[in-house]
Amino acid sequence: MTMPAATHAREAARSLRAAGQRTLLALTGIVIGIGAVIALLTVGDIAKSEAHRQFQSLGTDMLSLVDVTRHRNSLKLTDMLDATDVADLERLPTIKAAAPFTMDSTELNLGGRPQQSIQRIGVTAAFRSMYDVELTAGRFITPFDNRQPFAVLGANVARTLLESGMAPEVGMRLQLGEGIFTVVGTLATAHSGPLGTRLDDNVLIPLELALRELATKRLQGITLRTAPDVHYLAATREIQDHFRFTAPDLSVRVDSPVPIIEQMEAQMRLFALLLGAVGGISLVVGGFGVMNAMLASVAERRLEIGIRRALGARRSDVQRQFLAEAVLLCLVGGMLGALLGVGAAAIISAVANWTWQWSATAVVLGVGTACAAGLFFGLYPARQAALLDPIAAMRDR
Amino acid sequence: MNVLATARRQAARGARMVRTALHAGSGLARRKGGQRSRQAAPIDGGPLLRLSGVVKRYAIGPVETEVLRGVDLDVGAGGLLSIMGESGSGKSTLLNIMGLLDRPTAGSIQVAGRNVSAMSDDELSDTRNQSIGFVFQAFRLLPRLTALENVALPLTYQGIDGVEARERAQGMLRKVAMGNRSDHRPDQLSGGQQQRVAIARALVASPALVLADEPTGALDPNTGREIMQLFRELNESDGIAVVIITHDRAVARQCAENVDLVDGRITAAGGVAPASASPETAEGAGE
Repeated sequence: MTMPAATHAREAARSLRAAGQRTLLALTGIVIGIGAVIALLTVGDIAKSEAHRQFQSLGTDMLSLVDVTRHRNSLKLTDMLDATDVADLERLPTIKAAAPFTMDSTELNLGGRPQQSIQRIGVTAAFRSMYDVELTAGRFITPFDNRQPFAVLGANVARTLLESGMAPEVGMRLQLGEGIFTVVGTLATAHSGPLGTRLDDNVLIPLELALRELATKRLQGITLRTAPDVHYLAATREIQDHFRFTAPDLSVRVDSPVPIIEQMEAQMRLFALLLGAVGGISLVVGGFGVMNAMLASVAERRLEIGIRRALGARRSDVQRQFLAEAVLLCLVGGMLGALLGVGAAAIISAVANWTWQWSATAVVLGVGTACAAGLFFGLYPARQAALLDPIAAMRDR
Repeated sequence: MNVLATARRQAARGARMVRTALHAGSGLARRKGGQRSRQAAPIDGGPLLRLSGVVKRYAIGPVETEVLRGVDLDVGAGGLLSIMGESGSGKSTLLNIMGLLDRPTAGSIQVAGRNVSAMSDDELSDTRNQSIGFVFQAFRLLPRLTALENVALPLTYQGIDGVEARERAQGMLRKVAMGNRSDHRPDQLSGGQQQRVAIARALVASPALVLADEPTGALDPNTGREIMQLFRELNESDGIAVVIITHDRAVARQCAENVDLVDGRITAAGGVAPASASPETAEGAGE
């Protein structure tokens, strides 16, 4: 005979309510296990997309080309990588744009106060679209600036000036190292610049001026943007080939954020796997807790099982009844765990100042896993109940 | 043996018996899953339940105890039979075997002409569910369920649920004069009331046979008499065969037929008045 599923669910709910405290305690393992899995998966998801967002802003189509030639004669350096190379590179089919740069460290004179260390980055007009920087005032470096002592201030530099009582306005004069520069613009808060520099803390000057004035007197590198749908390795190969013909002595390193992102993603996957394992272990522990509670329940309700069997319940009816209880128990645990997990993830995300996002997959996965655990760990107790000899079961007490 | 004689006598009431037995089988139509174990009606008034040479031995450690030593017993459709025996005489074992809860070591059992030893565990469960009602000394109601839900329980194992089950259970409660107690839980009912609910539960699936194990044993004499009265009424009006296992001669006296279980064997009743036509003369029921 088959008892309707709805009846099973109703009876299971009633039995669980009656079992009360002990059952709830047995659930803590499941709640914590599922909670941990969901929290960690959600946090992992958020961290991943956060990291992705950061790299994405940098652009997966960006390549950074750095001169790594070791020369005995440092004077040769400036000759190795120059404006001709930039123009040549821009003509390569795999390259869309090129923005050369060079930089050095100097001091910012704040009028009598201790001077502040600052980086001057020599750039061309191409730099602006390459790094997607916005201006809050004035203008960017233009091709007509040539060797004029013009400067564009990073957001934090402008703030520092303001705090020192010097209004950072267009046209003001600023002493950077030995040179006096005229401020032509200020930048909005920006992402990182070439070679991991923080644009916010730096000053941009015309490249031509930098190549003549700065201590290095050479191009340090070129930031490149690949043409659409070009794999970074193809572009890298083409760049290396180009230099092999035009400047065999030169050795350049071409970096892409792609392998870094890939490596990061691999790490995230490993992280998620480890967290999943931790959650899985607590789930197994919780599962045995549920199994224990169900075994206790079966032992306690031997008489009930005997009566049901006498009234005509088949073994399968009894088994289904106890399985339904175990699954319902774990479902409740899974849902409590989901609440706990999402809550914990929200707190972690708030503390880390990440953009909160809810992972439906994690919740569905968590609750589904709980139900599966209920089925798995409920099977043995349910089987025990089903196999009870009705006479022996009714003889008790 | 007067049991067999009675069974033959009752064959005269054939039409009603067959209807009852068929009715017992009608619940089968409700079952899901397709496997059916439809019980045939007794063939031409053959016995509802026939035990032939039933032996039950238990091995307790190295010692083997023979509890039943060849029981021959027929329960005719519509009969009212008492089986009397002292404690330790094998009454409970016999009841378990008659109720298909236990299998005999040797001998055969036939339910409505069908040999039980060939039945699977599921078929035995179905037969208990549809053809046999149990009434226990300690009532054995499920404490968390209301009277109505307790009564409806056998129906749920037939796949009958919801309104139909509730209506049938409520009807059965009315029949045992418990119609106004359907929402009470067992612990809110007196012993006699609980036993009435238990009887309603035993009857709800329209079985052909009710097995009662010391049904008045836990009740005071007056309540016990009321319960016995209820059994007699159900037997009279609905033609349900009732077997009452007891050690109480006063209870046995209220049954139409009596046998004794002595030392694991059925003997003709000794010291009991022949099938009493006036059970009212009984001294009392229960202890």
